[in-house]
Amino acid sequence: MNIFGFELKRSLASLLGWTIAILLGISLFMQGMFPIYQDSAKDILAMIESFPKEFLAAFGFSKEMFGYAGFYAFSFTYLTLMGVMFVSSVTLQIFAREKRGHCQEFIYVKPVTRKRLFTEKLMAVLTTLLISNGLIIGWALAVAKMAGESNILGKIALASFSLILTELLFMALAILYSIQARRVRSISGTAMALAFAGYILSALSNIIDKVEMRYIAPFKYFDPYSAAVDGHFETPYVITAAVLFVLLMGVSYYRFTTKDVRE
Amino acid sequence: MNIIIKEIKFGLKPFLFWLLGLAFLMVAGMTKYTGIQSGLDLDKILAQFPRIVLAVMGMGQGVDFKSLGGYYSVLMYYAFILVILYGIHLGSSAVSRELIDKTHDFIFSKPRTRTNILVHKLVVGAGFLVCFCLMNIPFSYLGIAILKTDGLDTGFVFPYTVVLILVGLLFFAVGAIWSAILTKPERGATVANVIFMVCFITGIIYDMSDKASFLQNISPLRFFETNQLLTGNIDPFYAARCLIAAAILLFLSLKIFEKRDLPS
Repeated sequence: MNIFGFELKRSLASLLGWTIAILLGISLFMQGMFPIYQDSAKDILAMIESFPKEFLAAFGFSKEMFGYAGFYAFSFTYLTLMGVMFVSSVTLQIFAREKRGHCQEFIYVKPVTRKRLFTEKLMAVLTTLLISNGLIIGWALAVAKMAGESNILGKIALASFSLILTELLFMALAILYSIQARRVRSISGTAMALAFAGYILSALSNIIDKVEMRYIAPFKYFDPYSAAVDGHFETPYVITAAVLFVLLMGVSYYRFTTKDVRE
Repeated sequence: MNIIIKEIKFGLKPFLFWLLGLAFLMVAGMTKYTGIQSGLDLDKILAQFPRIVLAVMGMGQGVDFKSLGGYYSVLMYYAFILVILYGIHLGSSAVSRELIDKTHDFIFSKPRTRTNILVHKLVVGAGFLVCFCLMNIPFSYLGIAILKTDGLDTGFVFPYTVVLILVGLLFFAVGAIWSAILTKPERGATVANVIFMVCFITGIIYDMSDKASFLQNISPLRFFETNQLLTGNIDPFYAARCLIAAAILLFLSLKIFEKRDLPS
C-alpha cells in the first residue's frame, strides 16, 4: 500500500485544484450564465416560431436547446475538457514518475511485483477520480435543485456521470502513453494536447454531423446532450468506448508487466 | 550551424505529428460545408440574436457559418488552438528541453555563449511555427478544392494565416519566457498552458456576454474579429501588439536565461 499512499498524496494538489476549478465552472455556467440565457431564449423562441422548418433544421434548433438540460449539456463540453486535463495530468504524473525522474531501476528492485505496482498506481488514479466526480455530481445536483429543476435531477446526474466515463477512457490512453513514450517531457503539454484533441474532434463531429465522425470523437461517446435531454446514453458509442477501454488497459497492463527497462 | 541542424532533427517528428492534426482539421472539416441557401437574409436575423444564444449555437461572433467564409472561420478557431498549443510547446522546449533531459551540462559547455545557443534554438522553434502556419494555406485550398466551390471568394485564407502566425508567436514567446524565469524546468510549460486556459475561458465569456467587451483585450483567441478578417483586413492595433509583445518577451527570455543558474 506504500505506493498507493505515496501516489495519492502526490496527486492531492492536482485533485483539489482541478476539482475546485470544475465546481466553479459549473457555477459560472449554470448560475452565472444560464439566467441570462434563459431570458434571451424566450424572445428567440417566439421569434423562430415564424421561421420555415428547413431553416430550423439547418441550424439544429430545438426547444430542448433553450432549457436547463440543453444548456447544461452545452456547458458540459468545457467541463469535460477540464476533467480530461485533470485525469491526463494525474495519470501521466503517476505512471511516468519513474521514467521522468530517471529512477526506474529504483522502483523495479523493490520487493513488489510489477503487477502489484501497476495495480496500486491504477488504484491511486481511480481514487482521485472517484473523489472528484463524487463532489462534481453532488454540486451539479445541488445547483440544479437551487435553480428549481428538481424534476430532471436524474437526467442531470446521468449527464454528470458521463464525465467519469470519459475520464476513464482518457486515463487508459494516458497510461498507455506514459508506458510507450520514450520520454515524457512536459506533463501539462501532453495533457493539454490530449484534452484539446478530444475537444476539437468532438467539435468537428458536431459540425460535420456524420456517423463516422462520432466514432472518433471520444467526448461524444457518452454524450451529455442525450443524457440530459433524453435520459440515456447511445448504445453503439458506449460499446465502442468499452471496447477501446479494455483494449487500452489490456495492452498497458501487458506492456507494463513485461517490457524492458530502458534508460 | 550544428545547433540548428540538431534542433531541426529533434523537432521534425513532433512537427509532422502536429501538421497531421492541422491537415485533418482543415480537410475533414471542409468536407461538410454545403452552402445552404435558405432564402432568408441570415445576417439580418442573426444580428437580432443575443450573443449568448449565438455562442451556444457555435456562432460566437455572429457570423453566418453557412457561408464559406463563416464556415472557414469556425474551423480556424480550432486551428488557433492547435497553433497556440504547438507554439507553447516550441517556446518552452527551446529553453528547457536540455534542462529536462539533463543534457545542459553538455551543450552549455560548448564554446558558444548561452545567448548564442538560445538564439539558435529560438530561431529554429519560430521557424517550425511559421512553417506550420504557412502549411495552413495549402491545406485550406485543398479543403476548399474538395468542395468544388468555383468562383467563391477565398481571399480570407491569407489574412487568417498571417493572424495565425502572430498569435502563435505571442504564445511561443510566453512559453519561452516562463521557461527562462522558472527554475524548475517543466514549470514554464505548465504556467504557459495555464495562461492559455485562462485566455480560452475569457474568450468563451467574451462570446457569451454583452457586457464583457473589455475581455477582448486579454483573449488572444478573440483579438481579431472574424468579420474583419473575412473582408481581408487585419486589425493593425492588435497585430502590432502581438508582434511587439512577442519581441519584448523573447528579448527578456534571452536576458534572463543568460544570467540564471542552471541546475546541475
